Amino acid sequence: MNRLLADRNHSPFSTGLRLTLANKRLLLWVYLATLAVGLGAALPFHARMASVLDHSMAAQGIAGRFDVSSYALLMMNLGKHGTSLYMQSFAAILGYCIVSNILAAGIYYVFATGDLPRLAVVVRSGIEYFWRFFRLLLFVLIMAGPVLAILWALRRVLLKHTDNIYVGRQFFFISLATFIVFALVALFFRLWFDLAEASVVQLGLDGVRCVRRVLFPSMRLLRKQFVPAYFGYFLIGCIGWAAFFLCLWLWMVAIPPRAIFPAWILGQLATLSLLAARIWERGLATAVVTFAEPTEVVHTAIFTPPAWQAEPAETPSTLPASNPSAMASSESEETGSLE
Amino acid sequence: MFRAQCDFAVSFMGPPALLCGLLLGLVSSAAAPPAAAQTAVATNAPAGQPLSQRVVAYTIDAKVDAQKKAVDATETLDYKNLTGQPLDTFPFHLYLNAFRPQSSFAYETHLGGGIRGSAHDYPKKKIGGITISQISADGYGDLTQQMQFTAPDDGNMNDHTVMQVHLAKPLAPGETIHFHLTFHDKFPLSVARNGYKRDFLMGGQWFPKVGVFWHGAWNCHQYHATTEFFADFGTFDVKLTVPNRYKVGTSGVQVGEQKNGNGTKTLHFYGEDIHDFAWAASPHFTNIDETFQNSMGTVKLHGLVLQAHASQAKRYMSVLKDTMQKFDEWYGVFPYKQMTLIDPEPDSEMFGMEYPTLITAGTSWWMPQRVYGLELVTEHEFGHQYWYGMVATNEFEEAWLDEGINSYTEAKVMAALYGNETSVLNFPMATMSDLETQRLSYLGIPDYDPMTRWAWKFYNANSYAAITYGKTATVLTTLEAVVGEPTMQKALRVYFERYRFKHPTGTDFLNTISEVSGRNDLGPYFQDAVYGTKTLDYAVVDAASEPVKWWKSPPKHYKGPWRTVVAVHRKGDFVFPVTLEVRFSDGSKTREHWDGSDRWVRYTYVKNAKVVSAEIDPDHQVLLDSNFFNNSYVVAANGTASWKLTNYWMVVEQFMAQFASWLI
Repeated sequence: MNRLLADRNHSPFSTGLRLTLANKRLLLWVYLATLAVGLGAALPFHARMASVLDHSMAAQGIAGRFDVSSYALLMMNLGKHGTSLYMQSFAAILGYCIVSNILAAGIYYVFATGDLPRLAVVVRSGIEYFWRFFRLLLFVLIMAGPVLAILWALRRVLLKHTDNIYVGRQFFFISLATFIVFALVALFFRLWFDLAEASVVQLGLDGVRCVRRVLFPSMRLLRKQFVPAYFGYFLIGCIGWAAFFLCLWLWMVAIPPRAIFPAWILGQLATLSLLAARIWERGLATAVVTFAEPTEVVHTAIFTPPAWQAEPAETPSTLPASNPSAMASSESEETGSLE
Repeated sequence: MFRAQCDFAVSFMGPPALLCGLLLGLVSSAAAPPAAAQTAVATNAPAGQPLSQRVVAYTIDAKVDAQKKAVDATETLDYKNLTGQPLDTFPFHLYLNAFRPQSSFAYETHLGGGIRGSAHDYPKKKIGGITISQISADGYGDLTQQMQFTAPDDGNMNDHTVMQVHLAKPLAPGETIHFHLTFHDKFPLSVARNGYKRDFLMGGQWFPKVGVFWHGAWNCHQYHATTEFFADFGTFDVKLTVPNRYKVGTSGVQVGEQKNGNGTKTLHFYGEDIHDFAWAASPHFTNIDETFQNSMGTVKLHGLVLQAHASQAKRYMSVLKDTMQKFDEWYGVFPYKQMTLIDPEPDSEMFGMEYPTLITAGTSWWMPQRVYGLELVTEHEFGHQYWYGMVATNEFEEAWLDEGINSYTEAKVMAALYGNETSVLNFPMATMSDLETQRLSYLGIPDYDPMTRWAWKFYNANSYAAITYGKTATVLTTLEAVVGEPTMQKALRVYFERYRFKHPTGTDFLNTISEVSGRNDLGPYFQDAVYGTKTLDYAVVDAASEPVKWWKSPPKHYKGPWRTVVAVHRKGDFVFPVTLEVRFSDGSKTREHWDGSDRWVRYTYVKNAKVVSAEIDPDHQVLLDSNFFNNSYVVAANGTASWKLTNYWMVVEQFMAQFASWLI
């Protein structure tokens, strides 16, 4: 077990942060993946843009101030090339989602085990858990999808009704409030999913390939740990978004239009801030799952075996008893692989 | 003329209005000799002279049912036959009947994705209509049985937006017929600037309106998805009975108000030298009144702004005043006594519409100061007071004459008020100009339709908007570069002064420009730009220098002579003379003028300097050119713009990737 997780005097929020700070290389790997996706989409884009702009005086409308019409006309003139650029970007995003799934499992693994966050460790463990995470995604989509769809439909009905009564600022705030409710519920599902992912990795460490059976225990765990888990998670998200918008704001107000490199740095810092917040959230999820385990449970024999069956004294087992990992663990011991 | 004034006084004035009329008469008589004493209620016309040839005089008494979103009204129409020929048929527009699934309007909007963008099935709430229960004419008796729907444009007999009556005996030239109608309106949930939204009511095209006898025939088209209106000038004497809590803005001026004691009030309005009458009513309006002074007198600016947008009221009035100032200065005087601005209900389809002396604008409570959306729509709709309101062109057949000329003047005024490059958006990080927006709109679908196509015959609504608004503005701006800005301004002024209160055609407009500019060579340009669909695109395809003795390797610090070759390609079919500017490394530059008649041209220079850049249209005047990026070639590459965009693209890509991975 990660020594940081053994120290239970800290909240999941701070433990998540400590895990993140202790494994900065994880941020590097995730960032590099994001950078690769960004470059994968940006370089073909640049090649196309350079062929149109680099020798054109009309490019000044974009190089200096950003003239929206010039940019729109540029996109219009790209024609079919524009479509292929969009498709490339879309494909790159899909690719990133797959890579992100691998990296997520690797992050949980490093957090849970305390292994060094080497890329090989992260990727190997990520690949090992890839299909389990993929199945988990399907389960969560099946459960969260209808709930969120119904909630969205209810929101629309409410807004339609409200629209007949309130206008302007009042309607905006009602609309915003209902959206925040929706986002908070979505956040709840995201946290539940993260806890389930952390549990799957914990169980995996015990050799249990369990997916479906972690879902409801994870929900129970979330219910029991709702305040530290949910609000910590929410706070981390807020910190990440605040940092993101701070970078964008600085970009807008402090960077001259032609200063490409400083703008790029700020753009990447904005990206990094969201990535760091996401890793922190995963650290919090790992801490919540781990802290739910009792520190040590000593099992005593309920009967004394005959002397001829007696073996040398066993060391006390540390089977978890009242957490999702424990339940699935016990089941797996009885039935072998459940999934 | 005098007789018309007497008719007016007798026919519409109740006691309060009569008092008002008497007062006006006293004022008038004090200011002018008795022989010329006339009263102009709604205009600042000198000595109260009618400004237009008043063909029609409407008197309407309407009761508005705010709960049922309906109107019950009686209408008297006095039509004076000034056509010079007997008339035995009278067609009427019944525009509200467009809001039924059977109408041509609904079918045409359905082709574009549903009624103004909604689903395929016709929403029940969007159904509206107008029913005439009785029509008669003095001396002709009851004509109700004579009513028959016609469909002059597409033969859709279920359209019901045009009705006509046939008279047993023709109306002789110079005679006046007095129609009496009783009708009922059912307003739809807001569609195409009509109907209701919440408790806001918009009477846009709400009463039976007679067609225009024009060029020897009745001109009374059906209502289409992309058409607007065409009507004769006259007077409108309208009484509207509404619940007490409602505030009402209308065309014309208010001349009376009477409390009815049953929770309603009757408001009395009068408009003259206008060709339509619209009204808007809401219990949530706040009055914002100011004045504007011009050479004809004082104009009351009557703003009715929703309480939800009270913070935007000053912006409305500011841009309205500034726009009026520019129009007064550039094109001519605004002769009416009142200009009413309506801030329509949010999320309704009432946004941005023009009626004589009344406009609807539109905004949102959060509209940033640096986004000139409110200003743009207010300016545009006010501009229609000139290009539609007074110069009353046929919007069905030549929409470019109102929407297009108005888009051109809109870009001019917006640029004058908010900057050439920043007249739509003015952020440190991003800017946008109105003129470029017009051009962008045109280039979206540039070559399906000519500007002169009848509005409902365009390929689709996008083409209609792109050509009618965007292309016309772009064509006129390019023309301005040809004839000069002062000349173009003068031409528009002459056009306005010559054709206000008339129904000019596109030919009248183009002839005026040719006449004022003294240019008889504009025909080919008009042919391609106005009547044609050709697109214009020039490109610098080669700009390079090499030693004159190219077969010898140049020494290390070779200074010349260099042979420079610059080639220009006319990619589009639109032939237009252009200027090419070539700059050299010694700081010199040269300009070439090419008539563009061939597909390409090559220029060769021998100098002790290499080419630095070549640029077509160096003064950036030919806005019709569809691609500015290929108009120039700079030998030394500069990657600032491409890397800047790449950076944006990359950050957005990374963000999208992260967001997607968060979701799953």
